Amino acid sequence: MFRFIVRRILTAALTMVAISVVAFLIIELPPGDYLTSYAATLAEQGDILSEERLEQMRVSFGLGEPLPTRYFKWVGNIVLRGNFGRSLEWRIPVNQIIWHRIGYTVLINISTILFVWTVAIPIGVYSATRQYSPGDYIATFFGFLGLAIPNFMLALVLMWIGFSVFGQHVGGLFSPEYRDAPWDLNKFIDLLSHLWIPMVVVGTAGTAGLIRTMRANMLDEITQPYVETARAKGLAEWRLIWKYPVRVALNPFISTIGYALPELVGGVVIVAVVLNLPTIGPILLRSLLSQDMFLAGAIILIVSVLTIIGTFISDIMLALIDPRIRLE
Amino acid sequence: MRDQATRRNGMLRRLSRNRSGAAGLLLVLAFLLVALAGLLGLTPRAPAQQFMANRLAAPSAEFPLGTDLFGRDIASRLISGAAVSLRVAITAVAMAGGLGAALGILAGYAGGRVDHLLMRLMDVLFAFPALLLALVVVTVLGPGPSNSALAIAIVYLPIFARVARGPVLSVKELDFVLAARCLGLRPQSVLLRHVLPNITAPLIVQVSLALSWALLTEAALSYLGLGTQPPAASWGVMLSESRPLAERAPWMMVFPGLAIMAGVLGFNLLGDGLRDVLDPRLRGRYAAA
Repeated sequence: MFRFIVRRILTAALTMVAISVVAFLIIELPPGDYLTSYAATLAEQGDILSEERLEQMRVSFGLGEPLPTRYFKWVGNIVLRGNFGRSLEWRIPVNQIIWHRIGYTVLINISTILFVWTVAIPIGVYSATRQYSPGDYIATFFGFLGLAIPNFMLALVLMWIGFSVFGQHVGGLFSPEYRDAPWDLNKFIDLLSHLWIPMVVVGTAGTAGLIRTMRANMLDEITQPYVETARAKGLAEWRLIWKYPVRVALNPFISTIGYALPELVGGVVIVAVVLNLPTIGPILLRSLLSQDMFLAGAIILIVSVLTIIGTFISDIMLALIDPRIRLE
Repeated sequence: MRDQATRRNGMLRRLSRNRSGAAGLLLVLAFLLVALAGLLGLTPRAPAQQFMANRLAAPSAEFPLGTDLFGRDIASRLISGAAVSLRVAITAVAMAGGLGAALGILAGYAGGRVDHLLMRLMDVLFAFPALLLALVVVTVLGPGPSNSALAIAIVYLPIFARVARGPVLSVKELDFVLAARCLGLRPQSVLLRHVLPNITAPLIVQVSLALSWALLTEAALSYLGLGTQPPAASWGVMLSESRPLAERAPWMMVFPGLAIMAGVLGFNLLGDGLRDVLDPRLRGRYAAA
């Protein structure tokens, strides 16, 4: 087990290095740099930056140095000082922009995962144990529908319903009066009354996918001899199902938990734009479009590192559960 | 030749007996038909033509699905949008599938260092959340339909590589592959004639699922203004144009939304049906991917 963990840590570390290089290359790829587009924007407004001023800014942002030097500077600052650089567009440190947004993103994601699991697992189990019953067909139908509806469309529809039926705007995470208020119970309740919409919107596709996976896994398990044995010894059907096959069928979920979090960060981007959520997605989109490279790079890096950590955790959990994996 | 034809017929028959597969096949055929009409320009009206007297008209005999803010016929725009979606989806999946399968087969068959290197590269790509990666690629390359196809292809590359590599690992150990090698066949003939035909089932299933994801992603990117550019008609563009008008003209939102849903659902159901028909052992796997 120890050797397994060490090997996994090494792989994870190597992947992180590779990803930091890729993230850096991505933000370097577009032709021109932030200053070129900044100067172009100013020129559009009839304002010309002098060559001198441009050169000055280029030096202060470190844009004139060779590529590897810039990479090591960038990574070095992050690893040694937790400094992701300054946002070129907002002119404040990247750290000030992203962390509270990452907080909200994680909040939405965790509540979405909870929503998905509490809905999908019971339905999946029901579908499998009552295979080909009307309930199973209904669940399967809605499962496919949930997978096929683009989540940004679901967001639009919910907003429309919210407006035309309840006469309220459902975007955002807070009502205007609470947005900048300090935290108290009322603000928390206000948050909960807004949170369910992104939760449902983002969770629908995941729920649908999970119902199908759960159903398929359960169908594989409930025909196994050990289930027959448990039934033969007289265990009540309901307890039997939840005690044995469900636990085995849940196994593959652990391997996807690692992807769940970052996948949701990505999936939330569009929903967040539609619903006007204070999450990381809209900022990433904006920073990419305006070539705000330190901000974009920081977000890409953090999200990818989250994926690696998630995968690492799920690998360890799988190894703990299944000895075949750790002895491989 | 005749033998092959009967086998294919058998597959179609089994697929049509599979309820979800049959439903998927119908939806996909309908989508292809509409997209083909769009490709050939067979729309009731020119998709960009503006009927200013009929702005925001509700569905009627004249405009069966209504008109948008500029009085453009929504039905015609949907048809021409289908062609855009199909072109992007097919380009993307062809690129991802071709290159991904080639890399996966190579990695699986060569094994050792080649395998390790290729698959770690794929892991790095895979570590980026799918939609995020697509967004990044499109913003870096610049918006437009061909770049969104490329972005979708890059995202799907590691999935095809993985799906192709898995079965190669087991197929390459089988006796007929050994026999082919003993007969002195060159590696490329062994791969193309003996390994590839035995791993097509999971690849075909994946193609169908990839097409459904590609449709969805093209719509999402266009919605954000990064895919197909207005005034060209695209389902995602139409959805985003409908947003500020959703209360006054819900048909602007409903029909493109339904179109996306039907297309995505069709390829999804078809992929699932194909999986059941081609290889029952695969059921349930890759479902999360």
